Amino acid sequence: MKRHGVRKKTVTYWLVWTGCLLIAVMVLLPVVFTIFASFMSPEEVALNYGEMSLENGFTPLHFLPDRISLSAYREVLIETPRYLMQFWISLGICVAICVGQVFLSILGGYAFSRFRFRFRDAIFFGVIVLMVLPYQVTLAPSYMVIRALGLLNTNASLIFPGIFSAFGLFLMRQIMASVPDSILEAASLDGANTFVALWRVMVPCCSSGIKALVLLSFVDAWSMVEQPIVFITDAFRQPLSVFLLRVGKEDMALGFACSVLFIIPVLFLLLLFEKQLVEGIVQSEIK
Amino acid sequence: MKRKLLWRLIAAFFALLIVCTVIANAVYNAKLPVVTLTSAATMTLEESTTVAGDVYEEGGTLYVRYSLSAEDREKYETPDVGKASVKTVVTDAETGNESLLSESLDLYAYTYHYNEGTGLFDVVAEVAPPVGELVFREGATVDLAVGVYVPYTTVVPSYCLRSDAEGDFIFVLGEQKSLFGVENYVLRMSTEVEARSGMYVALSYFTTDPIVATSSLPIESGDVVVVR
Repeated sequence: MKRHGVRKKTVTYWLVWTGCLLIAVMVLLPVVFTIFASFMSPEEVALNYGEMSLENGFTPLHFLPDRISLSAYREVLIETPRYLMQFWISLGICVAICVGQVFLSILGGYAFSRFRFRFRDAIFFGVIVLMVLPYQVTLAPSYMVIRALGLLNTNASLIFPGIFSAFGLFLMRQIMASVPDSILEAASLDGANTFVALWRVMVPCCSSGIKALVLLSFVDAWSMVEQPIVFITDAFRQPLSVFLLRVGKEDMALGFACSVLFIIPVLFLLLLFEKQLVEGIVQSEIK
Repeated sequence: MKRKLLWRLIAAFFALLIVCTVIANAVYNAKLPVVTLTSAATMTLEESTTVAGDVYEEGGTLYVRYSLSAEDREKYETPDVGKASVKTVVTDAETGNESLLSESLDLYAYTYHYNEGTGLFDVVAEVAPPVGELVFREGATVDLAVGVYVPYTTVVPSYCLRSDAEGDFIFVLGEQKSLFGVENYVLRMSTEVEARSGMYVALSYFTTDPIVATSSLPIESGDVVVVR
């Protein structure tokens, strides 16, 4: 009986692991493929994926380059500045959105978690509704507002709507609500006013959550596609996330190299805040 | 330790990107064609035709006689410019040496007569007296330049005009906002030559935009250029 139980557990264990492995392979395969393909010469990329023709219903994947070539990277990094300029534009937009979003979320989260005011819960419910709404629903009204403000075709059209995040507000509210009242009361007894208590006490207490928010908001802004396509008509103003679509169509080899360049900042941020991401999400669930 | 290494890696990555951006910009700018510009001017161009004629003397006055087609007659009926190129001999008063000169003499007082036999207009005009003595008298053949001055609105130096299989064209300069700020680019504009005169051509395409005169590299329509 016992032996049967052990055997059953082992089978389940292997089944789960096999399933997880398959999912992991499916998730990682495009990334690994992109990295390998970025080291192929343009001729090799064109030969393998030039027409993207299907063979028996499948696109033949050619993983390892026949000969390692850095020509795509040379083009992206040295010969043509447009890719790097697009990278810096994206980075500028993302940093602005990230900083604004974290700042507003901290203020909003603190207000919703610590103050009692009329319609607080109703407003917070509205925030949650906004959070669950697909972005496409608010895209047209956002466009009208941005047009009315005369911000179309500017970086501000991406930054200003981007700095308010319902999810960020929700996350910070949940994290700040988990901080014991006694800590703030102690600060108050020491003579700290609301802002001092927020910046000197609450923010350090929520540092993991804030770092998690930095990571999530950066990733969200770094990979945004709909907003630049709708709000920005000049191709050269669009961030790398949209630019990648075009580069990939024009020159696939360059598209692969640009994609790797596109992955790296997010990867760095993830490695930096990996621990805080988990801690922050756990902290948001405490209360 | 691991975190420190990660920060160093991030710093190195961004430093590399900054250096690459600077280098890539320098390489990009160095590759751009450098162009010089000119602008189209409103100018009168001399349109002329060269015909053969005879010079003769009658009653102490020099005349020239030549023929014009009906088409040329319409254009050059009252020419602004009419010159007869003749050869004369000038004798030096002191040394008595003779030297041969080529003189360009003004024509005036034109009279026209339609010759039904040839279908051409016979023209007779008076010739301004030469400095020297005519080498070829009556019956001699001379070259005549008969022309008019015509105003044109778009006249450019002839080296601005380019040609290919699709015809004549010029490059005009445009401005566009781009990733690198405001850039200049060239745009091909097809045109027809209305008149040529010496170093200038009159174009059918009217523009007030700057016109590309010369380029350090071969250029095509849409190319980004640097203006010198």
